[in-house]
Amino acid sequence: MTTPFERLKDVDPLVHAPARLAILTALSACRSADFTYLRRITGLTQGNLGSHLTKLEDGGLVSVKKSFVGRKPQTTASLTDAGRAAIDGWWAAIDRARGDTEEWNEEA
Amino acid sequence: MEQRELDHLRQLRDTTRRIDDHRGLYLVPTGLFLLINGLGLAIDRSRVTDIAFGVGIAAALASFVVVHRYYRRTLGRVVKAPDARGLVIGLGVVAAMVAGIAIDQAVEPPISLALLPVAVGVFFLEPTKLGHWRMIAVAVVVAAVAIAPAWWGADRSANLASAVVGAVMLLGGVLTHRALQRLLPEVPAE
Repeated sequence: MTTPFERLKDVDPLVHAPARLAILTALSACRSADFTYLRRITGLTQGNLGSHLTKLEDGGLVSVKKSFVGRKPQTTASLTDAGRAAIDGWWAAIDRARGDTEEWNEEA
Repeated sequence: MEQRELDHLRQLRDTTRRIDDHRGLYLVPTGLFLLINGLGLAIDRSRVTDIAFGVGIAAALASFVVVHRYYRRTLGRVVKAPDARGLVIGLGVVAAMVAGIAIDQAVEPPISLALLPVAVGVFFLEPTKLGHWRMIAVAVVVAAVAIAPAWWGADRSANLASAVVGAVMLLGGVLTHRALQRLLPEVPAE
């Protein structure tokens, strides 16, 4: 029999990293958000946010579009279908693990 | 993952979902406009008060542009996901307000039927997590203003309604903005 903690090891590390979880969670609550907003809501530095967005884009979880508003460059990110499934799956796994942990504690 | 981190993620999700409601400073220009309008109608008019009234209204409108630019610069742009519940409440409030205005004009009842739906709408916006007590307080104030004509007379109550709703929007907007500032993490220096 596996413990709830052992089952959590199957969670995708691309999603599970705290900074990327914050980005994915924010994007799951809207249709799209720009770089300024994601930086403000996650508290990440510009370099860190750019690096994590690149990883998420390479993993097919996030779609990043670069455009100009007037003369200013604007980077907008949104979840892909795979990204939405991944973050929804992560929350489902966490909720399941919490439920299992409570049962496991009662049995122990 | 600790409970604190999960709570932080949930808060981040709720804040993003309701980001338009959190941008409280957007309420300030409208609040200022209504407050000046209510006070302007209540005092004895002269050329000086007319000029002051005009300047105040112009400043209120100009401040909307300033607020918009401020939020665009500091909070960026978020395209919201469809919100069926908020849309239904919003459309319901607007439809009830339009019906209330029509009835107020036609029948002149002792209370303002146009304002009551606003109070109900504000009350049902409480789950936005902008502060339970604050939204209920606003709903109570708006409801009180709506029934004020029964005691105060229609003309005085119209001034009172404009000034009180304006003051509530002004204060609520600033408090909501401060709450958002507290929610957001510090942006680290590059």
